[in-house]
Amino acid sequence: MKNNDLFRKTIPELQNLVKERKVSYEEILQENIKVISTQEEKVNAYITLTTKKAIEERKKLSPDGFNGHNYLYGIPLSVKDTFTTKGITTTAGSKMLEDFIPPYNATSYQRLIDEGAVMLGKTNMDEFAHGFTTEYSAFKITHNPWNLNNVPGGSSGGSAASIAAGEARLSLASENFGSIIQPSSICGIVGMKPTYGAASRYGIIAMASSLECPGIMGKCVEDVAIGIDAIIGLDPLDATTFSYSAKNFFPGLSTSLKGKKIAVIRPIMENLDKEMVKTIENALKTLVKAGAEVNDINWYDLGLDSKIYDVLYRSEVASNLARYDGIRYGYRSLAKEESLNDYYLSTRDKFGPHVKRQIITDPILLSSDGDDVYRTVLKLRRRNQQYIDLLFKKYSAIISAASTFTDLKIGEVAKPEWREKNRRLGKINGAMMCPSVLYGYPAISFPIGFSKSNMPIGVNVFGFRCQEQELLNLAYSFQEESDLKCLRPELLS
Amino acid sequence: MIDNQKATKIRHQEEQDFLYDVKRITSSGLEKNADVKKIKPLYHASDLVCKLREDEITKPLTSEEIFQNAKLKTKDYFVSINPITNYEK
Repeated sequence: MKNNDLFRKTIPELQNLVKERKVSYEEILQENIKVISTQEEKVNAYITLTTKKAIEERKKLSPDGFNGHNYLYGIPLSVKDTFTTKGITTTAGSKMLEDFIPPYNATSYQRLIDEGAVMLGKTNMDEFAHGFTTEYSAFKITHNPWNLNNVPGGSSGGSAASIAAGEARLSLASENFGSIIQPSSICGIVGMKPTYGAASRYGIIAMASSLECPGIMGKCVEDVAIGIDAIIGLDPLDATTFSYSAKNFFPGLSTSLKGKKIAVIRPIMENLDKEMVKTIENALKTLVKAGAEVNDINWYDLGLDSKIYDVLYRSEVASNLARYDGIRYGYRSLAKEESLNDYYLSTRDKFGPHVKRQIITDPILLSSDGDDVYRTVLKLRRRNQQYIDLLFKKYSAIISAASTFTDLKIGEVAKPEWREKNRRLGKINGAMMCPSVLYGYPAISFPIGFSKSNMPIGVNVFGFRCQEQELLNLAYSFQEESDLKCLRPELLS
Repeated sequence: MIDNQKATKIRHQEEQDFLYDVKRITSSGLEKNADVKKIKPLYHASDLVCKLREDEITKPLTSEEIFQNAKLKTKDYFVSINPITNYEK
């Protein structure tokens, strides 16, 4: 079978082909390794490659290893460099952790390899996940496989690019503020973050603890459902996790949306680019065709969610990054410094400018007079969550855009024009990305079309807590109806 | 090696970003929301761990103290390009 044919196969289809001896695990692995050897130089999806280790691990795989349940057996995986991997460098995209080799595995990663997945490498990300373009990595800039002059989104841009380019089958990523949803949309793949607490955060390099959540990126809904199935569940090492009883998302996939009510946040649509709105409207028609009822809804305050997010995120970042002092965590200076202060200075200089700025400004909110803001925000967080919970009594999913842009050139964000534009789009971005992150709802992004410049456009759908199956079904229904599945950038064909 | 002109430009950009951040943080006006007084804070989205510090008496720094610290930090920390160590306004 030709490699091009393998690219468009789903993971369950691959497992069946192996079972029928039409393809081997070796060929599946080599398909991705070949793309890495020819395209990685252009795409820059990975910080660390572990292909040699993967080839060694592949030798241990049996052609009869798939037992009908362990779909990830022998499947090539990429992992965002924020997840600790035992014996393999984990940098979080920062010079501060350039030489950090963790002594333990993150739970989500462990669960994927327990099912038999084989890791090909650690993917690039914005430093400590502070960014949305993967340009703020201390090591390299990742390029979008659909247009190498464009950003892939972020902070999980390396993971998204690795899937879109065909450099891995599945990717373990993390979400903080659209970090999975937005790059998935821009790179034309499917990405999902589960309910907060459904998947363990143990082993994620902490950035904003009450917001971040592991998730999965893949080429199609089936693959993502399998990945989510693998990572969720109670973890004694993370006190915020809970026991999730209704698993088996992949066998539960259904294309019928009969009787499902879906809400569209209309005020967001009114502020988006016309081309994007038209694509979303067409996608809604497809969902109606599949049996869903679509209604417009209003939103309490478009700018409020991003303000709440700003306060919580900054406060948590300030606390989490305080640990990198070169003594407890982080780069350890080898210079013989004269004082503890000098030692501290030479360590903290390893942070990039974006992170340094946050370290200096973020603690303002945790000062004694800033404390009222922090506490008020936590109350607003509950009030808004209660409001959205009420919406979910009527609707099974809420739809908005997954990104305010589709065609963003590398280097554009640093320009003053972008700053001005972003100020206007900031509240829209907040209303799009914040509800799932702030209030713990599961969310999914999947491709719904292309822009005139042939860049993928995705949609962002979030649902009630522990209703991952509803979201996966909605995405699956659209995917089967539209045939926008396992998309491959022409550039790399 | 980065030339002085480029370094000054980067430095200027960093200061602009810094001021933008401070303004953004201090102008949210969220503390004026009086209608949430009776609502219990939501520390975690899953609402499982909610007994963190509500009853604990803590003494955080005042914002003035934090600004003082920030000033000290900017003196030496707010530099991303190593060769510029003696920058003066």
